[in-house]
Amino acid sequence: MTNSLLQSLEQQFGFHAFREGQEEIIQSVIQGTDVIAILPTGRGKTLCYHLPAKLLDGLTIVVSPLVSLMEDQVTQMRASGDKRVAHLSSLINDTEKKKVLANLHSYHLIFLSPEMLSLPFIQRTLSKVKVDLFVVDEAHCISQWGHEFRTDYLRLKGVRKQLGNPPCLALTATATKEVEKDICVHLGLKKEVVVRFPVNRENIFMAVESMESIREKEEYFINKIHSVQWPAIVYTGTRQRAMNYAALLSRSGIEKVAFYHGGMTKEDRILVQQQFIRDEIDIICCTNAFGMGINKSNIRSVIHLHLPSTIEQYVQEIGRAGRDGKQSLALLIYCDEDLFLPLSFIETEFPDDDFLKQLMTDESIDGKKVADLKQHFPLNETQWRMVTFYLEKENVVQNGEFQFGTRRKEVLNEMISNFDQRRKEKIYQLDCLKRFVQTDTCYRKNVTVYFNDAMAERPEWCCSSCQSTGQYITWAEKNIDSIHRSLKNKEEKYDWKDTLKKILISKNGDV
Amino acid sequence: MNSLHYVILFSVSKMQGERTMNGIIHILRGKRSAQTIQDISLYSCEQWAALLKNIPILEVNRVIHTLFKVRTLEENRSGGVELTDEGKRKLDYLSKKYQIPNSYEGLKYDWTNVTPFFWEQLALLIQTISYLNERESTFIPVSYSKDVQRAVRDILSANKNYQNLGSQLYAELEKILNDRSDQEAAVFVNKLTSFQRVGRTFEQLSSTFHDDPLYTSIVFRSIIHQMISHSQCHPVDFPVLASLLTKSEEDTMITKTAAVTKTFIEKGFSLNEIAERRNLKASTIEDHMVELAIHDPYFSIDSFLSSQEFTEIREWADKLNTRKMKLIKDKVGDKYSYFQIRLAISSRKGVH
Repeated sequence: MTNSLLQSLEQQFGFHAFREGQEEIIQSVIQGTDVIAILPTGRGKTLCYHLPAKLLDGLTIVVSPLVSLMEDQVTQMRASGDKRVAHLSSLINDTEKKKVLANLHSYHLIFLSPEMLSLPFIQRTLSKVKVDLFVVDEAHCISQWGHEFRTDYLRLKGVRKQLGNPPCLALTATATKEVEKDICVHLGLKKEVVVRFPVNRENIFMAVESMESIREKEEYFINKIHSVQWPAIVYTGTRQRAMNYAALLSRSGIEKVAFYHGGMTKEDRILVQQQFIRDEIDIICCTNAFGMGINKSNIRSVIHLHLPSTIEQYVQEIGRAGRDGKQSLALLIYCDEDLFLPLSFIETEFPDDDFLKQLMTDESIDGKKVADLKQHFPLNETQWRMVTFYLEKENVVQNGEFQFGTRRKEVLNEMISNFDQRRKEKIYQLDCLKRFVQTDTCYRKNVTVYFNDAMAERPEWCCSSCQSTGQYITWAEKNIDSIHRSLKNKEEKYDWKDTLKKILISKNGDV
Repeated sequence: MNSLHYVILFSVSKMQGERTMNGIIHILRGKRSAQTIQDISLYSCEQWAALLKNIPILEVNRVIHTLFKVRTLEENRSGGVELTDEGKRKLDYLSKKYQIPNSYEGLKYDWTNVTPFFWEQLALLIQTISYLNERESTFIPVSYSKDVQRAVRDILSANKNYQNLGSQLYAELEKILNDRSDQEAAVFVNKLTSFQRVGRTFEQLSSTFHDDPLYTSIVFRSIIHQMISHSQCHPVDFPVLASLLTKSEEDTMITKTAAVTKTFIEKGFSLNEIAERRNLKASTIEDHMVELAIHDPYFSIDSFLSSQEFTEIREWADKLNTRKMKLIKDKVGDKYSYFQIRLAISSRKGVH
């Protein structure tokens, strides 16, 4: 069996060996066992369902919350020759969707957004074919304890049942024990195999530097960016700051720097991403919109100029460094003011109590359609989804209409305390991160403890508590090649005709 | 001040203080509504309609807010926006820095989806040829759109010899780019993704254009417009570019619903009959008729206005030097309906 799996791997992907853990996961899902796999990013997660999809008779469904990532994955798979892959999401038009749904039998792997999968019409169509594997990517989204709770994920158990309870593979990059438990319960996993990898990445030096003020922080950053290894990712808290820091670096003489955030046009996002992957950009300043699904193995430094909202997120982001196994750096530059931004995000994330009271006591709302009320209340799309989900679960909203009934007061109070609870959890998580940052004990050990991992042997270069950031940087400058370091030079003469000719006209003579 | 300020001041200056800020924003963002379609024709905004189609509305609003705050724009008594004297000076100054290139044709190519579709196909075609030249057949395409990928695949399979295709396309592009300055041609070439290099963003290309990404994108789009119009007029001289032109109906300038109304008119139904059959208000059908009068060269307004009546309304409009219906209506009284006035002043041509 093992041998034949290895053979398939060679035939299908041209690899000669599995990476650690892949084989166990693939073996289990092919045998029909439920699996929770906690794999740090960059450890070959995609292969864990791509290979089974090719080997199993029936269809493999992958639910993923990141629509554009899904599109990237499909594009990459198709570019590498597998045309039996498609995705169903808001990014493709109705005609394309219908075409995919009408030809389900010609695919072995379909990616779906959770929103898409909650449509009855999609469920009906899918239940007509044989689904052999139900993959839930970013499975931590199912848990309130996870860093990105998504209400749509709570419906997945029901959908899975409707599809005949196919074996389930839940994938996530980081999960504490609580999240792991939630994943099991909410997806209805039975006798599941848990494959857990330690989140510790021994080739990443973990540095945290605390500063007195924003100004001091910026000075330190500008000072250090020239001596750390490139390519580098610089994470910022807002789009505007991503743009500002890119401009700042450019002024400081760095030529190949760009910014990236979710508000850019799709065309620009694809271009900047590709430029970075192909080493045409050395440093990218970005929000957390950047990084998911980016296959770039030679990132040498990941720098945080803001506080991520949870330790999970922090670990996931620094995990993008050094996927080639070479020594890399994670540097978080902190000052107390950095707490304001995530706190204000938490403040505005959930609908406020006054609004909920108004919504639930206004008699005139009874019997009205949710869709019609949307513009009359100051809620954003995500907040509406939270409220609607909750009210649907309690039957206060039925078929898109408010049906107040008798339990209204009760439901209202439950809802208020529910959101309050969630708000508190978020603050607690932020507090964990704050304590993590402010400690003077080993950062690596603290992460390990947070995730209940066993502490591995301390690597030569550990963290800024065990050694100092300065020591590391001096050592790295001497011992690690920085890919290239291009500072601005004089404008070269640019001949557009020459360039265009090189692109379009074949060197192999004019035929 | 950047090109976004320029575009807004410029467009306000064209509307004679007779339109609200929102009305102007709709034109700049290419809203497909009867009122906007009519305004574009009334105030001759064809060239710059949809100029800000891809700019987030929040950013547009932010700039407008500052323009009011620094007193370059003001609202007049009837709710229209005008330039203040300061605004006129600013516009004067900015027009020396920025110009909308002559080949830019907003209504024709940006208000519809002609430009993005043409560009995406061209970019993918060039990328594909460049990879084929290097004997590489797998790459991440610059366009994820299935329609674009299909169109490019069709072109490649119709031209079995990609090397000839590449040389021919080079010749066509060179011919068009030779008309432009070297900096402008370089913007186009640098936007291309090829085996050698990933395309640049407007942000990255803006250094030769006042560090202004929007302005760079306008220059770029004007080059694409030139390519479209050249290949439309001379398909024989530009066979490869002409093969990228869409034949799709969605890209005509007439909205779908107006097109349906047109089929009823062709069958001989009256305005009220159409409204009844389509279960729409008569005023909606009137909107469609005005839209058709503006865009459809074969649409005749004879059944609503005689040539004498048409001339009379036009004369009033000229005399009053306005495009505002209300002012004209005040003069002509009950003799003509608002609908007739709208038809007369928005129709491209006279009555036969």
